[in-house]
Amino acid sequence: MTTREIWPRQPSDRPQPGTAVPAGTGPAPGSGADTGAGADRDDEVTERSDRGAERTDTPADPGGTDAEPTDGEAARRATPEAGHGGAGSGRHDRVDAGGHRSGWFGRDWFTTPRRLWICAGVCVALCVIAAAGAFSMAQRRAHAVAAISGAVMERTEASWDIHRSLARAAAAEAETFIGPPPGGAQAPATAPRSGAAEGAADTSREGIYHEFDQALLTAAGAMVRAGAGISPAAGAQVCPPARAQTDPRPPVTEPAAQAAAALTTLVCLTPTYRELIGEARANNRAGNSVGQAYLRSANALMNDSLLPASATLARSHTTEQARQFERATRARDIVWLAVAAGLGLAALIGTQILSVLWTRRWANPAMVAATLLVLGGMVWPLAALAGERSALASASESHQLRGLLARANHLALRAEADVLYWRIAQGGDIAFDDDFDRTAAQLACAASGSATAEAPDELCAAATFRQLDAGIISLVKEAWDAGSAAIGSVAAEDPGPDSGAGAGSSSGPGASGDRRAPDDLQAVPAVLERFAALDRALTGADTDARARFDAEVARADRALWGVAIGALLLFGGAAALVAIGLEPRIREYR
Amino acid sequence: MKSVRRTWLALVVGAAVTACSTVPAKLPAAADQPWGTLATASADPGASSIASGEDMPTVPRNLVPPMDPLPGPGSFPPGGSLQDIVDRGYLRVGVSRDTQLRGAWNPVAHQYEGFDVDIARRIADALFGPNNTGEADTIRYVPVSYSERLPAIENRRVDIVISTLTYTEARARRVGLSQAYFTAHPRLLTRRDPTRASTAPQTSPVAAAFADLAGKRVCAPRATTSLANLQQKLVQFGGFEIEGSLNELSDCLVAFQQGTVDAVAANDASLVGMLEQDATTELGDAEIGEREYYSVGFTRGDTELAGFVNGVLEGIRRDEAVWVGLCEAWAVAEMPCEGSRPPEPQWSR
Repeated sequence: MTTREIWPRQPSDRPQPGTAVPAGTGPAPGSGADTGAGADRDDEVTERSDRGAERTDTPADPGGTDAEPTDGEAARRATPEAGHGGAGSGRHDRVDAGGHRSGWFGRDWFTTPRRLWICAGVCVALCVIAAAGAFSMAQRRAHAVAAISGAVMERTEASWDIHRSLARAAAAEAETFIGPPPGGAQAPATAPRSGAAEGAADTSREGIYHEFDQALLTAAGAMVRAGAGISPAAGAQVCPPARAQTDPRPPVTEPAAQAAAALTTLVCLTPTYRELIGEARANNRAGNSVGQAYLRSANALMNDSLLPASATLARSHTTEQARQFERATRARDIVWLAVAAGLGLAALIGTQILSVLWTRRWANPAMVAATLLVLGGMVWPLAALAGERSALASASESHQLRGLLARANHLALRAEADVLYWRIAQGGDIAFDDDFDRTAAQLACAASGSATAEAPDELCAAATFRQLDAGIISLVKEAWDAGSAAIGSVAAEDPGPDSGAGAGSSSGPGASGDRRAPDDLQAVPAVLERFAALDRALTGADTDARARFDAEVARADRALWGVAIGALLLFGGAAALVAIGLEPRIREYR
Repeated sequence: MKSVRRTWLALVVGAAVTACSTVPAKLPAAADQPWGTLATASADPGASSIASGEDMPTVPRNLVPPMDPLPGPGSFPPGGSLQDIVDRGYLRVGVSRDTQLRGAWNPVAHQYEGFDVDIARRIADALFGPNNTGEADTIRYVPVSYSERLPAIENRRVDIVISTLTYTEARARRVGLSQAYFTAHPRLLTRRDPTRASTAPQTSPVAAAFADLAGKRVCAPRATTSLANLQQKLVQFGGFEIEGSLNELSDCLVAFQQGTVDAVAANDASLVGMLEQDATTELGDAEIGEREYYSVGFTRGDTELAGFVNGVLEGIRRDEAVWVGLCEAWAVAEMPCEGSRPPEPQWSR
């Protein structure tokens, strides 16, 4: 005998709880369909006695308060062949004489225990889905937060450090080529930069050499850190030529391949840069003019290959950092959790309401507890995610500020090197003075935002972020002024062609050589001093931003603490309680 | 009651929106700019438009006759270019920054020096008088690369250019050029190799020289007569490659020392400076082109300055002791001064 045969689902047939069904009082099998509740019960009893029923259609405790009223299944019992698997049954659904469907998914199939089974299944499934989803989501977010403060941040910082160190090395090397002026005048290098040589009072050329070496050493270490997550197979492993106008390697568009190619460029060409500098120094000491050509080659290598490669690497890592932020604060996680937990909650509440209607029991403590657990499992992760999101929002601001500070630092080093290289070359095919003007304007925009009055609009177009500290803005202005003064201008000092040679037309565009370095021997030391002060201020601001960033990410990490396991336990516990709570109800019908 | 409900609803919605939104962490545009390449001076627009045949060296002709006698300081015509220079207080001279023995910055002595620099000093002395207040006040050197020489004059960045500037018809159409002050010979700088011998008999020393370069790379700075000459020889003899994108002759020496080129083509006047700096090099014996005559460049049409400069140079040329003295100061064994004397000038009528 099947469950369907035992538990008819006609509500009108439902006996009152506590009603005992006398055995052997029903009509004879096959006496007709839908003959009333009494007939149904009689049929059931007859059938049970006839077939030696394995299950009963009444609660196990017929006289108790848990007794489940049964629905009539008169039609099937009246026509046994209509029952599932009955003789002559060629299909599962049948229509009885009263027009009621029976069989699979017919009206009679949805008996109360089956409904309870379905409700229990839905509740348990939703709880399990919510548990698994919340666990994996919390775990993923925790990993993303760990990556933000750990590996990815390490690589991002390392890529910034590469750029900073290389630019610092280039600027330091330029100082040595300016050298002391003849006649024993004071050497221009008076202000060591921050970082490797900070605190050192060595103003000698050896001191600058030391700073150069330290900068390259720092860059090498940063390359190791920056390359930690880059697969060698991701990009071309062929070293680019040091003197080629264009990179002969096939262009790559995939970010990982670009990062790998950039790292390869850095690893391959940094020793070449060092070698060129070594040749430049040796020739310079010997009084050979080819030393400047080596310096030019080294500088071209630095600006055309090394620094763009480090910028590419930094961009790759900052993009990865942004991706981790998005992973850690993905909006659809919250929506998903709320929907899953909300559905679970609704299912639990609905089950309890229906259970009350079906079983006439008002309270099921296990189900109430499950509901509370699901509520907790929804509220706690959501609150934790909100807290984590808030912390990461602050951390993101600090991260963006650090990116801006790094950019400003790189631009400051480039501007400083422009002044020094221009003092060395004073003309030439590379217009260091023009580059200084452009770089200083970009630096001012980066520091002051779009409010920079001095910079042309096209250079400030991207500066819509925020202003740096007023102290830094002031230092940028001072450094810009000092650099401009060191480069000098014919327009300021020279009567110029219009008033001088009387030759008619003025200098055309690009006539950067009109500028002439002023004779002021203190111009270069003033530049070094101003840019060193700016460097220190930017480094200090970055240290502060780093501390804020770390604190905020740690707060986000704390907010997620225990959420994965907690959600798993809460939703898993709720699923177990659903089973515990509904199992006796279902069992009552056996 | 309603307001309480609304407050709660607003709180819930606000919290949901806050908690739901993804945190953007892309760097701001101001911090995420691509790293720009260094600004480079605009290329010489005239250099590429000149056909190599027109840019070949020739003996200077149709020259502005020299001032004879030279006017002394204080006797220049008012309003003229010479008086303007004197009024300014210094002469702006375009020189090479690293053509050793001709014009180069000495990093040890911290000064420009070389034969061209000495010629510039002679002109400045003639302008301001030999007892002027000092070179630093009467000459301001503007280092120019080969490709910058003519634009520097055209843009009036300098008054004169003295930087191994070979006289050609094409150049004479762009700027004013003086009579020659030096004669140079195009030659090749190669790696010293005592065991090397030409593998096949050649019809001429030049052919032998280029036969030795088969399959090799030869460097010549851009916008130079040496590059134009080399391009002609490539057509004539073939078999070698040209590296003609570098700006300075010293860049060619760097490429040579780095092994990316095998030879450097230039005038002996310039190559001897490289010979001085690299003991592994040697100067080829064969002249690989026509003789070249160095001129001083100035603004085209400035006959006053042209006549003055030609007057100074003619005075040096005529006074053998002075010319030899200047030449010997920067001479080396591979380039004796006897072969470097300037030719007889051909004045315009």
